[in-house]
Amino acid sequence: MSPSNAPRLTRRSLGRIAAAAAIAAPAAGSLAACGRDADPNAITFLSWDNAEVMGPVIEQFEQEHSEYHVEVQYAPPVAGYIQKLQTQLGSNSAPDVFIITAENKKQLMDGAFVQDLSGESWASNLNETAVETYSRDGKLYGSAISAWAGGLVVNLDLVPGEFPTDWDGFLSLCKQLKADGTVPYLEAVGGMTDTVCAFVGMQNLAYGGTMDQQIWDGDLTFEEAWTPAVEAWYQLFGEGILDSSAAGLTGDVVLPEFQQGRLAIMSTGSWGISGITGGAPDLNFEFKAVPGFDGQSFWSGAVSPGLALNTKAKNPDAAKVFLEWMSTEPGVSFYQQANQFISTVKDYEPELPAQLGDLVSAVQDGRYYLPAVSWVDNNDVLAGEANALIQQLATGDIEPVDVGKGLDAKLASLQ
Amino acid sequence: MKHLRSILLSVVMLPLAGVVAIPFYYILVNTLKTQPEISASPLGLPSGVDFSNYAEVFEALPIWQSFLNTLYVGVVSIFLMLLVGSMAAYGMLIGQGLLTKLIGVICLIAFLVPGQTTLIPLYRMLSGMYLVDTLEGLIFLYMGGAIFCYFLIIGYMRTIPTEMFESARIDGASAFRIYRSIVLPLIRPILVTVGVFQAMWVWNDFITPNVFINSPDKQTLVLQVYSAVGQFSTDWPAFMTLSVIVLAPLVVFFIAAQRHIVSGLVTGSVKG
Amino acid sequence: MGTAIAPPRPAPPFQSPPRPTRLQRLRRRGIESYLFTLPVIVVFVVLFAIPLAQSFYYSLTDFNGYSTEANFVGFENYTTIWQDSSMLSALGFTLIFTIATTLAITALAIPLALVLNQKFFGRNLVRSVFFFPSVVSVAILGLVWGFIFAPLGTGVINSIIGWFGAQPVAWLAEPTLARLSVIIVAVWGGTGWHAVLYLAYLQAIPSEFYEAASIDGATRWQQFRYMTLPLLTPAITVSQLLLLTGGLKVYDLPYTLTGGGPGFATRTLTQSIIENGIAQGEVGKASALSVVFFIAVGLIIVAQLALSRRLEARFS
Repeated sequence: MSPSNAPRLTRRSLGRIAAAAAIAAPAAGSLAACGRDADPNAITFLSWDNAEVMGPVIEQFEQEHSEYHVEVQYAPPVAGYIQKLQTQLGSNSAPDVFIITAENKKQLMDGAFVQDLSGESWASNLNETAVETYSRDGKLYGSAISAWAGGLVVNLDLVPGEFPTDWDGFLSLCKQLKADGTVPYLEAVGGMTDTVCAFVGMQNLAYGGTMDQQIWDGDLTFEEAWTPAVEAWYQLFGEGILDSSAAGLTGDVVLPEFQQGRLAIMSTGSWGISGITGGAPDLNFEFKAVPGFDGQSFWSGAVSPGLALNTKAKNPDAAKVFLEWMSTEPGVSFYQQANQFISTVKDYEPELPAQLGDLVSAVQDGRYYLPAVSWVDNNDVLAGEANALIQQLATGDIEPVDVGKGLDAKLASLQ
Repeated sequence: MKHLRSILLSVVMLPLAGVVAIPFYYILVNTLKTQPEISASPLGLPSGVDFSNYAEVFEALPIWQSFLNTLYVGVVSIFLMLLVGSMAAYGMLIGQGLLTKLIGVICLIAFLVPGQTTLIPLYRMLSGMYLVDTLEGLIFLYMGGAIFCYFLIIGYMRTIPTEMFESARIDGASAFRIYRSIVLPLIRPILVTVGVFQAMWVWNDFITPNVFINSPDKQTLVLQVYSAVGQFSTDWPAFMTLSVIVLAPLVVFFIAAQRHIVSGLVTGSVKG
Repeated sequence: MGTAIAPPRPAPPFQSPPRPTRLQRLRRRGIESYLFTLPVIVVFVVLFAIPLAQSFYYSLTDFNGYSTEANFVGFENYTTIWQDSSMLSALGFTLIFTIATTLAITALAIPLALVLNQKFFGRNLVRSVFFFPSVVSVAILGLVWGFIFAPLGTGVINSIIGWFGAQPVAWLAEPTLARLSVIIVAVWGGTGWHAVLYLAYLQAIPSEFYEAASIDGATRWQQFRYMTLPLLTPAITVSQLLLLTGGLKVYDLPYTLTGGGPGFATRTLTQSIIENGIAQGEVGKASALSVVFFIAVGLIIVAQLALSRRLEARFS
């Protein structure tokens, strides 16, 4: 190489690029500056679904309401979305409509970033559990039109006949399958699993549905409330159905085992159904509730994220038109077909895959529980702690009673 | 003897590279399979080559637009950061004062700043400059990479015998001319290497465009990859297919660039 | 060590009659050098110093990242961050990870760079293959390595050891193995990248040096020990600095691979920071953690630099 070559190249490209940058920067800046306040019928929206799902929904809305148009931004859930929204709110540039969810609802409500929607005519169309999830002091801060639940998925060819509704029955079924040479059950214990959550949910029911409030009020401890649930779940290990390697499994590793018929039962949420059928279209399977104490089966699950209205929305009236459409039949039915979620609004009955079984009615009746959503505060830190404790239990490092104890200690250190 | 060693190296290194490449094999092979095939044998070869994953992705997402956006941001920002970084390194080399030492320490600090915590201040700054949701805003933020360039280049310059830089000073050439016609050619291997490193970073960075880009038509390629991520699960075939699409230009770039990395110092330049 | 090879020292300064006095030269050099460093200073001030100062200010407030205002709370955040009990185990693994990856990658990357600098059939391919692990997004790596380390008989490693009659191993479910697995993936991902860095620095060694050394009858080992290694010390310093800062800040790789588990085995400091601060919207607290972290990493780096200065002095 000759030294004279490189500089010439560099100099030429420098000039061109600098010129391009100089022209482009002011132009882009002025565009952004004047595009903002011009249109009173523009609705800005930060979507958490990707463009493939949300694009057609928005198109449909704009077709039905041709006077409005929606400027959509996208961010993938969950961390990417929360981070983007947080940054926008913190610098006063958040869109009119955005997502409220378990991870950010406390901050959004505390900071008064979201408007009360309880006075809107369509609010009564929402399911009670959904309203409760995003309400505080009688005010409604988000419109959630769906929910999900998680439990067991059963290969009906490997497990024909009646499926047990009590835990002991389930354990003996697994032992029977194992004796016959089938892998009965696998669970990816990366932390809190659907089965653990369902058991804690049964406990919550036993405490009148206010278990977590009682814990935070100091009337109850995690140790008291959780230990029976954790002990029941831990029988999976005691009876030799699972071993400590479950802590090293991921859902992605378990799924092909189930799809290929090498595994009789696994646990997942209703959102996992398209993953199962996508890889195994002909598999004969059905969702089943987690069998509980005394035949009281239950589900893990939560209300889906809701749409919220920015307190500082530039065009609140236009945004409300969009919210109403998204929360009632025309929008819900269209969105539901694109997304295959379990809608819970009162004026629309979705058509859902038969494999979901009893899960659909459980979702519509609110028969599900998820600790991280139900906890009063510090959800993330406690969820991290719970995940770690359950894993330690799975690997045999601690006893069932230590899970509740650990959570009590964590909560105490946070308050 | 020399021939024998070359054969021996091939015999050892090629299988070793094969082992290192197993994860890539997995990614590539699964983009050519249908969903049921992936589930049937995640690691097996496809029964027939099936490009439907690619066809679907190209149909559903504005890949070309995003590619051009990424290319624009990448080329401009890497050029600028190499320029700023190499100038600073040369400045440090010729300067002896206390202040230049201080700059060295200051640049070190930049390495320690955790990116997550400075997002909000940066967003406010950019929004004051009307650079949010512009590709130029991304370029502006990526200029921070100049510090990394500086760091690698100054280390490289310290390895080069100083007389190579000094010889030109005899002629009384200006510092800028020396920088242009002596320094830049001399440090070409590290410029190319740092350029490659930074290209990988800019090309793959998710956090910055996710936070700072709003309009769909200004999205970079990585944002398209993450459109396959859902609340509970990721559409892995789409995610892997998109990743291969994002990585393909980088592979080409790396193969083209590596010729310049290993070009060696010009023989004879020591003698001036 | 028999034959001493003269370490390549810079030649004595040239002697040329008409030249400015020392003082004049220094002054001109000073001004020029500031002009050259000016752009990088601007970059630093705008993109690092100002945001960092703001970050420090947040650490003294109850800012939650959402609201546009914040109240001053003094050093309260700095006392509350120490209440997290998982912090200690996070600190432990972060240190193990950092030290192990820094040592392993350095020990592997230098020989790899030397090999990749030789001519052999398939060299370009091998170079690319080793380099590319660092390019793939961590999200995919988590998935792929999840299958490789899967504890079932169908896991890649377990199938291979199964051919030799061994029982399946629960790679990610046993604390020590999980830590080892995370480190292995990090080394797999980082070695090629750092080898390319060393490869670039090897180009700065004029081939005349090697020619001279061969004529003097130096063996390959002597050439490496007394010539290549001393000349590579700046590269080692840069590479280790990157490994140390990267290692101490590591988050995504352990998180996608193990979620920080089993238990707290592979939790890192950054995961704690993110869980405690950013996800909770407690930016004040997260900023305090970052400031503490920043100071700690800074101290480690200063120590590392001092050490490498001494090594450089010893080797050259």
